[in-house]
Amino acid sequence: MTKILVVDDEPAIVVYLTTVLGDEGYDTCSTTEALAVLDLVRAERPDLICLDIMMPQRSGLSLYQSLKRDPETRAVPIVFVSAFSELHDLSSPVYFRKLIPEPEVPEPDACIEKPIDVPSFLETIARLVKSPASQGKP
Amino acid sequence: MKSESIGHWIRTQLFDQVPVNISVIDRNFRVVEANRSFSEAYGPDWQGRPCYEVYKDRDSRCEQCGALKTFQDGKVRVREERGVLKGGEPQYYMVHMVPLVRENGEIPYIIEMSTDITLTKRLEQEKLEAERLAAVGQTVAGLAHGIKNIIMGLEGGMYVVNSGIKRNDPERLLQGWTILQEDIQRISSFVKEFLDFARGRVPEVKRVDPNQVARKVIELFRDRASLSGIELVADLEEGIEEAPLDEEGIHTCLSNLVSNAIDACEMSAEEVNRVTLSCREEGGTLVYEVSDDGCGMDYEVKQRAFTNFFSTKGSGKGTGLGLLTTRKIVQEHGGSASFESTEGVGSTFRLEFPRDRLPRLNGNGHGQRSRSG
Repeated sequence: MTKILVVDDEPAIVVYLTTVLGDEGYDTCSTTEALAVLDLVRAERPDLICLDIMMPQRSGLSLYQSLKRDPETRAVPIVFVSAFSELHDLSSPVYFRKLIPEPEVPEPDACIEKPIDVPSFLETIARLVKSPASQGKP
Repeated sequence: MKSESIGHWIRTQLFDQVPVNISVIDRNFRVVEANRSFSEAYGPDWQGRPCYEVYKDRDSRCEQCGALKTFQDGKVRVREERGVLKGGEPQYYMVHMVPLVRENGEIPYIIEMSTDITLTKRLEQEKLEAERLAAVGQTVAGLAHGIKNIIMGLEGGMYVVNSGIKRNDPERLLQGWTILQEDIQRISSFVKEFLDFARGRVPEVKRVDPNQVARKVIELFRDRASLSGIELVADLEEGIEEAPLDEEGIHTCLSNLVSNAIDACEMSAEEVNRVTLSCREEGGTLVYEVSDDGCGMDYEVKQRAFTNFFSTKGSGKGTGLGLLTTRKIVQEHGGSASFESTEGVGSTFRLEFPRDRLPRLNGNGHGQRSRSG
């Protein structure tokens, strides 16, 4: 089953996203602790990560760089889900490269602005991983 | 050219040609002499009429008569006045009242020189109105951002409730209901932030590590700074003792300053900028400083930096409450806020908290402002 890790410092958002994904048939795991993310990714081996940006312990962008630099985790698609006002700028390759010039860190797979539109959110997820529907699951 | 002829010209031509209304009034407040500009503004029939009648279309002397005071003390007065032109429309002017003094000290006349500032006043009023409208726009933009986050929570709560109903799962339903309740609470808090500013919030004082607050702020803004190519640096002196502070309030202050510094860097022409948040102890005073090498402030901005709803950040950014709120919180701690700024070079904002003026903790852990300072 396709497993998705949800990372957000707001517990309500974690419940929301994991419920949406769970209802769609995805297996989910989650954390509100940014510092726990790297260990969790290695332990749970998710197929995709929904990552918030503005988190108090460690930023989503910093986690993104670590995950993409690590050969063991770099293939995992990451979707930023954030209310961050400059979020859309991350989708611009020029802006992103100005920010992170290292070529081994790829551009984010998708950026979704809060509040999410559930169908578009699920569509984006399904584009990046095998959806449960395509696997014959509810 | 003979000096006599220059004197003659000054007495005749300059008197009539300067773009200033000049009148001479006697001790009965009657206009006894006036120049051409005055006649054009108030009509030619001024001779011997009371100044208040000519200038302001009044039947009696003004309540705060500057001329009367100048007749009494012989001092030059400058004040802004509102008059009525011969056509009835209002006129604003800056008036200088200068006594004509005899050798024996007697003041038989006063010269009133009035410069028309009606256009300046009109522009000033239009500017104020535009600023007020901009302030409303900025406040609404700030509210919209907060509401966006709240909507995500409300939508999430509703989704989870619906999901619980569909699956006949009471536990999930309760979970969704809790999210909704919490989010409604957040809306209250959000509105409270604005009201707190308007009527003052009671600080929740407890013993706090001053550096820890700074670290939290640095972490909060690290991404935003990084996205804009700005290096955000913490310069924290080791071993600073805990202090009785309203942590939330200090966090708000530092967040406002760091956010402003990042904005200033974004407006700078430089490609690489740096913002430094420092915390140190200086002879019994806790000092926070936020420095940036951003765009800096010009004279006008510096004059208005701590005023209500003043923002240079353009639409969609800044409520104009940030620095005002910061100063208010700092003052609640018995501290002071100051800044230095040079346009094109950068700014440094400094918050100073003398320890002997910080709020005191009582037995219940609640703080009170020290009465000693």
